[in-house]
Amino acid sequence: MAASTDEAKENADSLFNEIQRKVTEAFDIFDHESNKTVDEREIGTIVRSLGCCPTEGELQDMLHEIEEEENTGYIRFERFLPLMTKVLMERRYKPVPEDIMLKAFQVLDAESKGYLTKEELEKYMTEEGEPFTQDELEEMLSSAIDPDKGTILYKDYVSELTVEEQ
Amino acid sequence: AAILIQKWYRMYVARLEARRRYTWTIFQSIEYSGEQDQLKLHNFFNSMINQLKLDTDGQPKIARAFASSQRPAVVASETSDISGCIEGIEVESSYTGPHLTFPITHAQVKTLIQAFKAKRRLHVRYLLELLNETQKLFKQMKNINYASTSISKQITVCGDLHGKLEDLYMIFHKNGLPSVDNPFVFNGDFVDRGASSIEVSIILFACFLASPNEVFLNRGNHEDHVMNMRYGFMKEIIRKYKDYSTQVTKSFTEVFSWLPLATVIDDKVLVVHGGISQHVSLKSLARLDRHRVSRNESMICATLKQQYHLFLLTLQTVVSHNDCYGWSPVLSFLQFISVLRPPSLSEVSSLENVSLELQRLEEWKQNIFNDETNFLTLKPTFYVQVLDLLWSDPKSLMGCNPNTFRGGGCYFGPDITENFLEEHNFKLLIRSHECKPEGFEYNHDGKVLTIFSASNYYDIGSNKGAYAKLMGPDLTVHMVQFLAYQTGSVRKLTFTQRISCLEASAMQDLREKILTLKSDLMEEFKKHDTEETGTITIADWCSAMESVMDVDVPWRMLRSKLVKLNSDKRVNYESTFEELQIYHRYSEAIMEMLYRYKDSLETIFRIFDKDNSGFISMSEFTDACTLLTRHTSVNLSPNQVNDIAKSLDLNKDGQIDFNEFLEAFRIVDQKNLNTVSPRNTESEDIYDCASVNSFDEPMGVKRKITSNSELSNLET
Repeated sequence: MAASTDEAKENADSLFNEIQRKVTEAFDIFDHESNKTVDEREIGTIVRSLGCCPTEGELQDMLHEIEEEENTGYIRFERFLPLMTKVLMERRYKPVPEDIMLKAFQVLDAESKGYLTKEELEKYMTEEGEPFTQDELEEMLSSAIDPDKGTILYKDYVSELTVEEQ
Repeated sequence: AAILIQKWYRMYVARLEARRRYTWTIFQSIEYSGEQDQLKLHNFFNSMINQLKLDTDGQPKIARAFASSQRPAVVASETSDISGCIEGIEVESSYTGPHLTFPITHAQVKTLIQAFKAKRRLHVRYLLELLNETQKLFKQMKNINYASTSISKQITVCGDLHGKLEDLYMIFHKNGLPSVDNPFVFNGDFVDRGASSIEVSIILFACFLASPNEVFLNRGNHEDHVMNMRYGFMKEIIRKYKDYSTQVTKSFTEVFSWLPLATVIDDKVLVVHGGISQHVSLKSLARLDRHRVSRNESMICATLKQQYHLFLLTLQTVVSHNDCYGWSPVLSFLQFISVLRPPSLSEVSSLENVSLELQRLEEWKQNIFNDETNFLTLKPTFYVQVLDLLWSDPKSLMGCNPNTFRGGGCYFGPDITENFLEEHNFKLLIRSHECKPEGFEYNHDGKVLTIFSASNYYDIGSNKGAYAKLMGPDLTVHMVQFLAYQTGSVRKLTFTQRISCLEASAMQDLREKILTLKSDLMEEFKKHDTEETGTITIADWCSAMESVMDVDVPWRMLRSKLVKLNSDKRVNYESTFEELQIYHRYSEAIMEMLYRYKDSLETIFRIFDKDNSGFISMSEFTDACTLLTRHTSVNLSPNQVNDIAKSLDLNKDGQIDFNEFLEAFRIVDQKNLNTVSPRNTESEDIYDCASVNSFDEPMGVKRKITSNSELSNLET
């Protein structure tokens, strides 16, 4: 009995250490000046690059927990590490599986055409939910629009991006 | 549904961004670790001078090779006569390239550009004449250029070009050629790494000769003989001007040593290649003789100076007991000690020896320096200043710290910048020296601007190039970015595809580096694999990579691309080396080690190859390997060295073609049996900039540029 709980504890410890190192690596990549701080506008990118899929609102909550009292615009590593470790250990903000993504697009495709027009995607992405900026919209359109048809074949798009991930 | 899609897409973009960042980290780490290597080589040569041993004929073999080939840099005045090199070279009637007459005109600059686009080569005679005229003009100039926008009302500043002709064409295409109304500052590093260093230099020097008051050239750390041996300029010279490579090399070295060190615009903006330090002061810089100070020379001087002082002290002690010479006049003559005859106490045992020594030194001094510059009055900080000017990098840390990445110059903080600008009443420091994804970057609260003009520096799609236009009475900065591509290469990649390509290329470079340390890595892996299962934990694999590899990259993030996991999530460490293997046509033995030190070996070869023939003798090769083993802590037994030497001497005539030796390394992709390295970096294509797209997509995170209120405007 004792042996297996010891082992279990050891595993938990090493998992914890691994997660901490992962967070450190991700943070360092964005630590432009190598002084253990990152611009707060990059926190979202870091969190997501670690495999989490929070909404903008959830990100803001995270930021509020770790930002400095005087708004410096920078987040320090000492604050980021414990929070991010917790997030990963608890598996918060897990990404959505492919089939759910597909369903989401299908919801937007009111007429069940099997594709979305540029105007439709633009409307939903900029007016609903947590709207895209103009830049984000343009980027998404450039990769999502099928060059031959001029529309968004969302089934293919979802598959393509999921494969890229893997 | 909208939120789901949005957050999913944002996650995808973030992961792409992370990949882009670590790709950059990989490229840069590998680049700087190469520069560190170069420093070690320099330090090695310095310590070698300190420890010279005389052999039987009174001349240390290695030092002789070193000294005589170093002559262009150390013994500058001997080679100051470029015109001597030109004598006897005629232009054949069959020559179809561009003809030059002096003085150079703007029309001739255009002729040269057209000729290079048509892939013509400039005849060596014209090249040498061009270099001669350039050097003559440089000699008349001060260490610091003073540029004024009173006539033109604007000025353009360009950064590193590194032999990339397509980028220079792009700049001229977008900004026009230099003229009275269109002055330019080119901030160093015109050569090395790219394929057309010679053509870039020719065009820049021709522009300078055509408009000497409107074209300002600053020296970069790559305008340096020893750097050129390692980073490709020498190779290019030998390839393009084989029969005259010695004269061409000497002439370029001479011209480089006369390049001014910095440019001041309107007494408001300082443009210098690397940066500044607490030692740098424009006043003292203005006084020093820049011709004497190249990087390797400055380091040699530092060593020699120490030796010399020791020697002097010794002499002094001996002679003062004999109450003979008055030392002051003597001291004012004594200069640096010859590399060939280091001092030794035993020689100063009698008065006769002393006077002999003094005489020898006096002769030596007259052979080397043809003026009365009293080097004793030169403070040591002078050459340190030049090092700092050409090698430093701005960092956020306060103060001045040694630049350990590069091995020369320092890291200077915002306080150093602030003090320097205040002291000189400047408002901005423009520098280059570091590649930036957007082609430029502001530091120190907008007071330091880095400009880098070689786009696609690491690989296609790695970074934009940029130049700055300073306009109006306040010299407001407008940045112009660009991407210059080879005609016919793939341009219409999506953002995602571009990142994937770049990532693949960085990973390839990384794998090659990993391959060179295979035996060290395997040793480290095995330490963790106590039960000899062939697998280790992920954490152990990461820590092994961290400790053995000398590049600072995120191993955890890269792990999935580098190794395989087995079913219980342990790393099969041998799979680290699965994909690639080094092949060498001639030498099976020790090829891994030789590949690892290939660049250093090449530098050493070139030093030995005094006549730039591409051949060295067997004994010189053995010496080179011995030098290498001393400078690294690697053991190459004499037998091993002999084996390699024998296998390389293909026609058994005692001569080794080291170009062939180096070319013979091939990294072969095991899966496809395609040759993946060396990548074809030596293509001779001249790029037609008119067909280049302007690239609107961002290279990375669209960040607002934090800057002073005066700094504005991004154009693509």
